[in-house]
Amino acid sequence: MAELVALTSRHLRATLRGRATRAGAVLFVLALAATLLLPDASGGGLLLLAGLLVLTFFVSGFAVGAGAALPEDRVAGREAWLASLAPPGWKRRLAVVLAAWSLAVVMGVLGGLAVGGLALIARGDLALDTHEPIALPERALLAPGAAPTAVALPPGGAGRTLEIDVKPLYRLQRAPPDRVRIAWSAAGQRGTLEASARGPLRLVPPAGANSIELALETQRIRLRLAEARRLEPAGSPLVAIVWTGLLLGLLAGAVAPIAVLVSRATTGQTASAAAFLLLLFGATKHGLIGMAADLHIGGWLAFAPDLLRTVAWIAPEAPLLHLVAEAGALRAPGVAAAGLVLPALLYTAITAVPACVPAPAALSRGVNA
Amino acid sequence: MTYGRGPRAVEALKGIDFELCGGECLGLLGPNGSGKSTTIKLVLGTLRPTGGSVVTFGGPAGRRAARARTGYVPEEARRFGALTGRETVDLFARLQGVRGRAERARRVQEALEAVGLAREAWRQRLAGYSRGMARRLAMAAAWVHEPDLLVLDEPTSGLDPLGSEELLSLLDRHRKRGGAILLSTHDRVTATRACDRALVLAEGEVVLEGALDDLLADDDSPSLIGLMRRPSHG
Repeated sequence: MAELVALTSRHLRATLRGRATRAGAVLFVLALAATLLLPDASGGGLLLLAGLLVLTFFVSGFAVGAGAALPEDRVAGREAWLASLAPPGWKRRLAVVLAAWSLAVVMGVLGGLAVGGLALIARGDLALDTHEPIALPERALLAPGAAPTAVALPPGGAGRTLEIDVKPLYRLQRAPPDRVRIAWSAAGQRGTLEASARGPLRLVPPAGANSIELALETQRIRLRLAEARRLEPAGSPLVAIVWTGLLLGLLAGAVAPIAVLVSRATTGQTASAAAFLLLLFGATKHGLIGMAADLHIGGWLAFAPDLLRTVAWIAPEAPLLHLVAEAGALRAPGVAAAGLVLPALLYTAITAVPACVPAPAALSRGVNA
Repeated sequence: MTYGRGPRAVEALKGIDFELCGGECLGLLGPNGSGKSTTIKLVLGTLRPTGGSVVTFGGPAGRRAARARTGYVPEEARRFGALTGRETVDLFARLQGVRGRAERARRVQEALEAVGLAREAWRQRLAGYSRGMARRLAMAAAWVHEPDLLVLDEPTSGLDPLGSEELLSLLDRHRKRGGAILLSTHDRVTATRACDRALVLAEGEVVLEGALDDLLADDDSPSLIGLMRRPSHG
């Protein structure tokens, strides 16, 4: 264990003191400062969205860059020198994985602090909500003149805001309305609300309601209920953003072992690019799977859907963009969001094995590689 | 020892056989490409022989127990540019099993003082070291865990006369402690001061072997050039 700690701290020092890190830190600060120039009328949402996107990019860059350190060690002769010392080769590689992963996590937390601090200073306050997802009926639609659609509410949560994302379904309508009027009824009470035809609608159901019925009163449009959730103001916006940063770091760190694995046989740049691409595939994993299902290509490109599915299968489950989009919508990830990073943590642990084990050639030669 | 396969195979070493005991220093002499570095890599276990065997400390070379008892000074030593001198020696002490913070600090200080590295250089990063400073530091890193075998590749290359003298004193100290030394060098002063015996290699083969005093008995040139030419020119 002491050897692993020593090797990891050596990599951390080398990475943190490197020119690339200093340049990256300056660029991160500049990019973050540039987000302040964005015209933000969304209560800080756009600022958070841009800031966290910048953070995601840099955290990912740090994870894959620090993970691809082996080629530089090889070229500089450090690897051969370290191979003459007591620690076995797998520990040297695991140290690179740990250094890159921990750097991504720490950078995520510190970056979250920077983004949150900047947003709070720029906006004065941020009205972030924690949210609890609510299941919607299958094919939940609102149409004028149709029977009301019932949404079941989970028990508890009296006085908490219900938020439903609606999306318009246009059926050959000319000049469909931008805003809609929706009637609701729950626990014997009724009301109406006006909202945008695309976006979240919010209402506070009466206490004790276990379901709410919605009916569309506006003509020439139909609405699909996309997602629903129950909201509660977040205790501390800064803590919520730092928590988001930590989750982003954990997700981005998932490709650190892949960077180490690829860098065993290629240059650092190739390994970084491959790991970054894989992370990008991981961030759009479900989109890729959906795209593969929708693709019907013949001829020599017939393999494309299978290729997309394979790429999606290899990539980690890394909903980075989802987390950033949620923060942009001023929704804070709750404690339950920790579940989002569990597949990524599992992926990190599993891919660390091939990244660290000796190559068969080295094993057969019996050298410390 | 053969590199590569098939028609492109190169035989780097053939028929080398030597023993090294505690308190003894064996010099590997020979021109560039004669097989000195390959021999050192085989002893360290970073290369495995394609034929024959290399035994260190009673077992195959390169196993963990042997690596922990060996200190190695490579030819180019400015490799951990991001670390300071003290951090580098401390890293080697930790990796070679020196336990306890206080004990490690004591050994690191002792090793750095023994190689005569100025105190201000202890806090300086290796990227700013001269070749001679890096060589002193590499010696400190190799010596910090008090190994039983020191393997040195051109140890005095790049050192000023004072630095060479300090390093040779350290090698004397190591031998008096019962440690063994295997070193490759082109420098006659280093060879005569440090080595009891020498193997002269040429094209991967041992062409001369014996006590260095005997080998150099009728050679009064200031360098080892006569010794290196002797095999090919009679």
